[in-house]
Amino acid sequence: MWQDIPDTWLLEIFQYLKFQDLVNITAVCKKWQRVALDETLWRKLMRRTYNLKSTDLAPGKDSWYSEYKRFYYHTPAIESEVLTNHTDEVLDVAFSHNGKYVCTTSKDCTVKVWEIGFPTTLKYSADLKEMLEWSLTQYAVFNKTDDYLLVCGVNINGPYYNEFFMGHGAIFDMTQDFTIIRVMGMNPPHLFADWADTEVCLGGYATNHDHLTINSFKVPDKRTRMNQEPVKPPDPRRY
Amino acid sequence: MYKKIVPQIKLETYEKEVFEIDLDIAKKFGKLVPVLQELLNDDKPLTIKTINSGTLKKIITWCTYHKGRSPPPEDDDNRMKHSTEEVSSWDDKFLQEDGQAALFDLISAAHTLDIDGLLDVACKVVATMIKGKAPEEIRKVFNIKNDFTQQEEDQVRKENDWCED
Repeated sequence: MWQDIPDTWLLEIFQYLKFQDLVNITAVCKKWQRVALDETLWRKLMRRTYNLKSTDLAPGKDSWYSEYKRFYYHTPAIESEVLTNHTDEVLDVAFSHNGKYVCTTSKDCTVKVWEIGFPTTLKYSADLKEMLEWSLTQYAVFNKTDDYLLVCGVNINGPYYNEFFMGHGAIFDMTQDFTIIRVMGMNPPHLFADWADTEVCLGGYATNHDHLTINSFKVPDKRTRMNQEPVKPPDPRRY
Repeated sequence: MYKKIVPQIKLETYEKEVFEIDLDIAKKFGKLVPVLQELLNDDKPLTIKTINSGTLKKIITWCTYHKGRSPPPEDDDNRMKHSTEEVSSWDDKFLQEDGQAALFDLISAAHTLDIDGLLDVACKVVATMIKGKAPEEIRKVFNIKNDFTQQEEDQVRKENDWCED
């Protein structure tokens, strides 16, 4: 009786089941197994469980069942790795748009770029205390193409301390050995900068008189950079 | 004495028993809707061989009980939100009291006559019977023969271990 029930009838019954029950059903008999693995069921489950708006599978994926399994089972909910390299509290974590890198900033005043993998490895590390005499690195943002990394930090105690620009931003070139190609000032330090487009950063400074100035900083283009001297700590007298 | 005349249609079951069904109940049978007018004018009953008398009786009882309630609008998403817990205790008892064979006939008849509400609730009741059961228990409840070889069964179990706690 129930073994010879038409597939569509079984589907109507199975749509009310949770995924554990569907998986159990795949071991009942061949016919029930085939229906329980029906993609329309898993698509509905997937969209309901993970609140997906899209009705299409992610590019490169070919089965809703394996996507459900991947989301439920292969997405680690456990600690998979501990990255130890910073010597003080980590303040922020930034992910690159291509998913390859993760960048950490810390009270130890270094910025570290990790290449994600098994295991995750340290790709670049820069000590901003040494390079620009900062006191900490606060946070970092990758630009859209992941070619440049904007790192923001605080420069309060160094010899270049300046009442106008306690905050600093530095643009690193990810394509050329993680060199600093541009430095900018910001005030107060928590008024941070971000990418306006792939090559332009916005930063600014606020004065005591409710006055906010936004500055834009463009990444110097590659040809002029060739002839430029390496970036040095900013000269306080310039401000 | 005044007796209200209710328009009725006639259906003949597998056992050749003829049932007179009130029009407002017959309207719930999606399959009959296009031919209702014809049936009203026709004195000869419509024969539906795939439905037996017991099942039709139950369907009429179910439709009479639910006459006053209009079903909620069902779109695809709405349908998914319905969980099996939403079956009312009346429905649950009503659908299960005659055993599994009757429930199966009811689902089959609900498909034949296209009675949406009944179909949904019957499917939910069957789903409740599957819920939380191991494959062996499901086979036992529904009297299903295991057509896997030992090797195939081991393979399936191996593939399924991802959702065990």
